[in-house]
Amino acid sequence: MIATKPLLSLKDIHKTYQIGHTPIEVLKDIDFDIHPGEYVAIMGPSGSGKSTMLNILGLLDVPDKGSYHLNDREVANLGDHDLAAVRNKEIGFIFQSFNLFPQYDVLSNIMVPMLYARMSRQERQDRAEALAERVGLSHRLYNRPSQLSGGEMQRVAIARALSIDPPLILADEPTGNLDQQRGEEILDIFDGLIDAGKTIIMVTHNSEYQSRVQKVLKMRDGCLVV
Amino acid sequence: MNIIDAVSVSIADLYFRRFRTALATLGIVFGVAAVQAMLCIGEGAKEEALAGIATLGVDKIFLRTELVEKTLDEEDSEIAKVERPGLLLKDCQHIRENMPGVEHIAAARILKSSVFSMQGRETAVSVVATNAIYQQLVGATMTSGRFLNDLDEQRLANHCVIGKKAARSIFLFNDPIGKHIDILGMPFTVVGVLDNTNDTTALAGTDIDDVIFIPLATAINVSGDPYFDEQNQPIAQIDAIMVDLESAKFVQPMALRLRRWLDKENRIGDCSMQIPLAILRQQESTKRIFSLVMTTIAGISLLVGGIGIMNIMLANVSERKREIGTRRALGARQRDILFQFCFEASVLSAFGGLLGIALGYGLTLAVANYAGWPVLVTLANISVGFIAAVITGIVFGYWPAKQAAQVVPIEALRAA
Ligand SMILES: Nc1ncnc2c1ncn2[C@@H]1O[C@H](COP(=O)(O)OP(=O)(O)O)[C@@H](O)[C@H]1O
Ligand SMILES: [Mg+2]
Repeated sequence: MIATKPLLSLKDIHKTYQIGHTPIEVLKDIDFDIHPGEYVAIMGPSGSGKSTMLNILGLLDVPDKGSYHLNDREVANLGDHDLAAVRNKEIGFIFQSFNLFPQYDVLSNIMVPMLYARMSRQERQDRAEALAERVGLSHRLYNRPSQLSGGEMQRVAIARALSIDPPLILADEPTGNLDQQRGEEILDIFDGLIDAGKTIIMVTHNSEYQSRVQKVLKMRDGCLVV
Repeated sequence: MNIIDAVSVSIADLYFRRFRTALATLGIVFGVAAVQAMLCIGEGAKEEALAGIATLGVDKIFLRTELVEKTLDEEDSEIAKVERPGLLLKDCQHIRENMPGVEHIAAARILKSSVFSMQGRETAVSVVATNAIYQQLVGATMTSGRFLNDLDEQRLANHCVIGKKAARSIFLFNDPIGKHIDILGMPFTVVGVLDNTNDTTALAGTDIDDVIFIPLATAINVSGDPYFDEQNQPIAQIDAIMVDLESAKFVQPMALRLRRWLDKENRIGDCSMQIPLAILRQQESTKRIFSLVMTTIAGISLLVGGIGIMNIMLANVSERKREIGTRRALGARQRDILFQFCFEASVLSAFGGLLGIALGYGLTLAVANYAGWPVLVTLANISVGFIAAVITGIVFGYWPAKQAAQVVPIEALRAA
């Protein structure tokens, strides 16, 4: 590996959920670094803790123990204000079920993170149009999500995740709700992002994708298996 | 996110659930409409009452004879008249000389008389005999000619002044000045035509525009009543005394003094006293009660409207958990979510407020047109309801918005 500083590093991360009175350890002793520009897949059986880990990486969930450094600072115990800023500017999150806003058209969906970044109207418009073009949806700008196919919806979600130009893209089974061909299209877009210098961490079930990424983190019962 | 962004976000969110939005605003719409219609109608009624009283004058007191029937040909009333003569001309003198603050005082006798024009056409118009000062006392203006003057009284002149409406019905469109009218079997020369005025004063019920005025002295002379008693006091009977005081502050003491005096003379039942200032006070307190009732009703309708909004917003929040979680994942702070939902509630209620204003305006117009009530539509009347609606939206939208802001992102995202 190139001797750069890691983009993020997890140390000794633990996460326990309480179901009734029985605590279940979802993540145990997770330790790894991701370097800028890396393309990583997290794989493993259902219930092994992949989503939990991605949520912690995306600052949507907090570990019970351990440290999480992102861009050289500890982010595990930031306040709401700073957390929101990091989620907004440094992380682009892509969901398995797209999570688009049904009440907005494509352009407005892409603009949501820019609203929270307080960008000007003109800049939002320009960027959103450019992003829509980048994911091949220039002809769909004023359609509602309900008028789009699954693959198109996920491309809108990718454009939305890229709207503040974050260095880190987190995707939880981004192709899980898509057929083979639409999935490939998403992966092609990811390839382009890697070429553009982004770091991608993607949870996936599809073992065919192993060959397309640079690094695979295998999980089982809340542990990383080498 | 500036205000325009916030409004357009809210409108998109609300429009997406337009049926629910429409239902949610119903309470507010009716509340605001009720508030506005009541305000406009209430203010209109108040305005009219005040205008009426203002022309009567708040510095005046009117006395009216209550006992004596003026029909001279009936035996019964002849007796009553002898026993209880009601107001007398000398009472004017007594009031002017013994009570402070009198600026003008006028007496009047109301003659029920049919009037025949010189062409022989019969028209029923009331005839009022009064003093020259009457014009000044009520502030009546002339269309043409002059009002009665002191000379008319001294000479017992057969002069008359005619109201606008009376002039129209007797003379049609001819100029009445210099023409004659038969009153009490004698020809009277018209010397002036009165302009429109709202004055109804102590001549109660008689519309000044439909009245013929003749000199009081002439009327007493013609009717053959005794004018003076043994002490040379004018004892002619009159129907009304109109007292114009120097200012409103004399009204209360004057009323007290008059009452004490009438009581001492054992004549308290012979006449009634009309005090515009007291009526005004009364109306003001009635208005206060009306306002209180109105405010309560408005408050209750807005409360109901507010609960409606809270209900819908709570439903919105629980239904939109995933949206909230997604927004948090994309960089929304808790306060952005709070602001978004608060704003949505206030846009919702502002929308309801606008509809309410339109509905209230329609109601007001309908009342004005069909019931013929006076209404007063002012910017203030309109904005009160609207502002109340927006405040209601913010107050009742705050709690659901707070719930939305406190949703834990990861749980919100897991929500279906
Ligand atoms: N909020 C929660 N409460 C209780 N258990 C949870 C919660 N979230 C996840 N889990 C449990 O944690 C384990 C790991 O879940 P998850 O990270 O979603 O796994 P994966 O994405 O690998 O399928 C599962 O057993 C799941 O039931
Ligand atoms: Mg999962």
